[in-house]
Amino acid sequence: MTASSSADYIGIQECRGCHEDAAASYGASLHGQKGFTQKSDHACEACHGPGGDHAAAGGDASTITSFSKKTRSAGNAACLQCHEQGAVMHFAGGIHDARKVSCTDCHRIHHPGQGAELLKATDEIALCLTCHHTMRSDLMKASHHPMREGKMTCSDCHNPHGSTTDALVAGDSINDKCYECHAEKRGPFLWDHVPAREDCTHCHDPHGSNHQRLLNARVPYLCQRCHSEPRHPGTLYDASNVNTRAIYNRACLNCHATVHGSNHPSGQTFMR
Amino acid sequence: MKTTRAFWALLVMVLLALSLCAQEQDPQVTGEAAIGANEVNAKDGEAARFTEYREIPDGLAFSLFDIRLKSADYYLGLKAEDAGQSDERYDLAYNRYGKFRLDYRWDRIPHNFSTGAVTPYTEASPGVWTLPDGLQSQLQGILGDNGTNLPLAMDVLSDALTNAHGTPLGLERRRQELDVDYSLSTPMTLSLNYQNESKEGYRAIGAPLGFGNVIELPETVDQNTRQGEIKLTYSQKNMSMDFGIAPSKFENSVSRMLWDNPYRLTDQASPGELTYLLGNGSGTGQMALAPDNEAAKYFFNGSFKVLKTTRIRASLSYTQLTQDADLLPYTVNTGLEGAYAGALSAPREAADLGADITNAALTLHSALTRSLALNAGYKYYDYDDSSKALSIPGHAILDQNWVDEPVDIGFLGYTRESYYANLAWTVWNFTTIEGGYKSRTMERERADLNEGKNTENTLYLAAITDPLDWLSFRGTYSISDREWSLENGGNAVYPVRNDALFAFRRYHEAERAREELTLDLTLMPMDNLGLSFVYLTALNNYEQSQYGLESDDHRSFSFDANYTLGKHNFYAFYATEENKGLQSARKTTLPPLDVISNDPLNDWTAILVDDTTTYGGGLDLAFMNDRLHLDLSYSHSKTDGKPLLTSPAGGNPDAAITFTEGLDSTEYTVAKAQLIYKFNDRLKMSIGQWYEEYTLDDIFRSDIAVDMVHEGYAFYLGASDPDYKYLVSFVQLIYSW
Repeated sequence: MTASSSADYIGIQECRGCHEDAAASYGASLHGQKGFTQKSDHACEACHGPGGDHAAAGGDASTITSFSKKTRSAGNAACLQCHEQGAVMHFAGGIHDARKVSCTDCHRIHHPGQGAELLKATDEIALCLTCHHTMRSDLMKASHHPMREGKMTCSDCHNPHGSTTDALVAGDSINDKCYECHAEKRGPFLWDHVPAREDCTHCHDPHGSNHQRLLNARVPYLCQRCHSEPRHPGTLYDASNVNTRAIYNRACLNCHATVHGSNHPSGQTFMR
Repeated sequence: MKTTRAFWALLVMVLLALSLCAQEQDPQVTGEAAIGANEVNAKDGEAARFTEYREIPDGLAFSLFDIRLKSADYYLGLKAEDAGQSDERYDLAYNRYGKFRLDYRWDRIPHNFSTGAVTPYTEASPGVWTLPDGLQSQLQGILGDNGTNLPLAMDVLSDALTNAHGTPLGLERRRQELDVDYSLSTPMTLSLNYQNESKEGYRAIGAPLGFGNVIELPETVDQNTRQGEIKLTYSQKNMSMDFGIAPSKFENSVSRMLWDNPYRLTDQASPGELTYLLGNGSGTGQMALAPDNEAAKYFFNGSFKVLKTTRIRASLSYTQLTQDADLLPYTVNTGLEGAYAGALSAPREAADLGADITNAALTLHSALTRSLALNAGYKYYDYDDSSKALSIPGHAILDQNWVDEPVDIGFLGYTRESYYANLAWTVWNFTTIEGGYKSRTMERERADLNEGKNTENTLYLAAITDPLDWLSFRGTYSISDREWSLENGGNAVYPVRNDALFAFRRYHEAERAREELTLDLTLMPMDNLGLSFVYLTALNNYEQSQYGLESDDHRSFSFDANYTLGKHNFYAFYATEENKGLQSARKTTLPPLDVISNDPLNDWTAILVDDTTTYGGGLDLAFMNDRLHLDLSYSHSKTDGKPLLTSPAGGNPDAAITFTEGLDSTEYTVAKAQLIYKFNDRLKMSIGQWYEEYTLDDIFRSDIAVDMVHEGYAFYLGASDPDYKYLVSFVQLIYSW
């Protein structure tokens, strides 16, 4: 190892002299590829800072930026030097940053991780579940999005790096996100159902439910939380009504089938 | 057929990979392929739910073919999963490092609902469901115009339903997506995304005729959504911004459904305005299905480092929604022309509906000092209706009656605003305390009438600490109070005409007190042991609502553990969760039917509780110097749906009769055992079995009948959601290179 002056960049070859494994795995990772030299040609030192002093001091750990000794925020700042754009634009100050989740809690930098995202876990859902335990129960419920079948992942709806929408939803609003796959519900309709137009989660739990169609509660009771008009909406459907159309099968939705909105001139009660 | 398609797909991928290999001097080729066979054994008969979103082939399965080529300049990945199956997926990824990136995915997603559905209807053309004229004519003859001989007519219909034929109920999405990034220069990237998704098949839908006649039919689905995004990103050290356009177009080939009335062949006006007798009314019903619609979004996002430790981010978007599908006529019942001459016409040719959505957000993040950070933000979201006004003279109820009730259709609009500010103080290097305030408003209008404004203020406090390498804790507490500007007037009482229910509120706008608490503790007492505990509550109290939803509470506790012993791994998880809602209402008194009772004896209350317990675990034991692995896993999730219905004795209803069986109680268990033997570094084999069991205990859904003609004047597809037990044995060879 050659002696270098303070704040000098020494290059990955010098690093490799002592940190052979780290340099090799870095070279195999996405960060180590040729194209990234356009962003920075300092390789290891792009994140760890100039290694001149470190090399001159014979590898003294105090003379190099070592993330194991840095706060999580400082570690994140190193990543954000290059990555604070696009989907990661809102990370700083976002809920994951505020709760001290660091980039390396989810991503593996040195070693080739899973896919282009360098994720630490074998699949993204498993990674999210390490903190969001309760979602595991939701995913196992009878009514669920095709997540446990591998057709969707958390980031199809959420941006873990930050969002200006609540719950890190990757869209301008919850509904705007839902319409990406459920464009048939987008309308606008001649007769819009008010709560559906405002927020799909008024009635649905997208993470999973034991009720049909990801509903928050069993119909007809879900509907009766807002509807108590005369006649059948205000009626109590108890065990004496088991074989009535108002509660059997899909209950209210047996007749009010176009509940998200109707485009029929006579569809104001969503039966057409 | 499936095997042939899979073969060709894989062959194309291999040839493409080989041709690219040949062009490069020194590509590094890695990959993995898995082929195997399953024996699927349905213990209690076939169930669509087992294959709801997937296919488990009984026989040969090409589970995976994944080849990756890597050179100094580029990366190419070709991946096929479940080739030839109804849930197959293909991915192509190409990355010329730092210059060009392309990802293409093609995915099939089945959504199977039922294998046992039956219907007496025939689909004459897409969305048009017919019955034999003879049956309609026979029943019309029995019933006449006044619903006479009803029991006999129902018997005849009931007999006819026994001859109903099977009908498929399931959808399939075919989705392709292309992502391209092209770096025009170091700071500038052009991105393109394009998606095309078709959805085809049948799903169950309620198609009522009259007030008493529920008919469940297959809805024909043939829809397509195309959407994309073109974005230009410019990124420098202290700033980044992007802007672009994202159009979307939804098209529905079957935009209306027509179906025959089993009780009537020829049209007739039902004599009573709000009554319906079987045999009255229309010979056919018509329903509008999802209309074609379009959206176009224009957006800008920017992040600017205005000071060394201060960033400002701005997001702005404008979206135009348009829906101009042809409108259907008020009714297809020719008998209603007498009541309104234009009943068989549409109120206007096309919908001419639209909305403008404006979204703007501004956030600030600043490290004021080394230990103090400030976050603040503002968000504005406005949904502004731009539809052409439409007044209608009345409407047809269920194609049976015409009601003269002129209405100016009240299109919706709302504006959401929120702002927040919080301070995070790092007390020691390992502890941060954060306190903040958030305010949200929601202002609604309908047909230019102000429907009031919600204001919700939230205070929150969070503490995050990791004082030791093996201990970290996160805790947050928030308290919110939501008010409604129209509590004492205007449209505050909903429905307005129900004066007796003066304190009935729609829960999405009702006054609400909310508390949330999250406690998250992670321990690593040993290098090879990790423990994690999470406790979470969210309590919603609709304090001004004496009717409607009064409270809605969620509580959960969960626990995860991981343990490693040498090459052996163990894990376990447990979660318990309670969702509890309390709601009240008052039944209509008799008579008159259209007035809510003033008598509190007619009140009723429902407490609905969903208790969910989930637990499981697994182990991965390594033997023979890591050549042999035994994997065992088990998971179980059970939800008890517990309804408690009450009402005072002496009213209407009299003392409520609560259910003795569960409501939507479900249970799902998966147990899996497999042995994996590594012959060498490249080849391994797995062999094992997995067992899956699902049960549904629901007083209404567990056994959906086809024929309820006598009880409810209704008939269904019999699309039940049956319990299942499956045992799948499998063997798989996995080769990697």
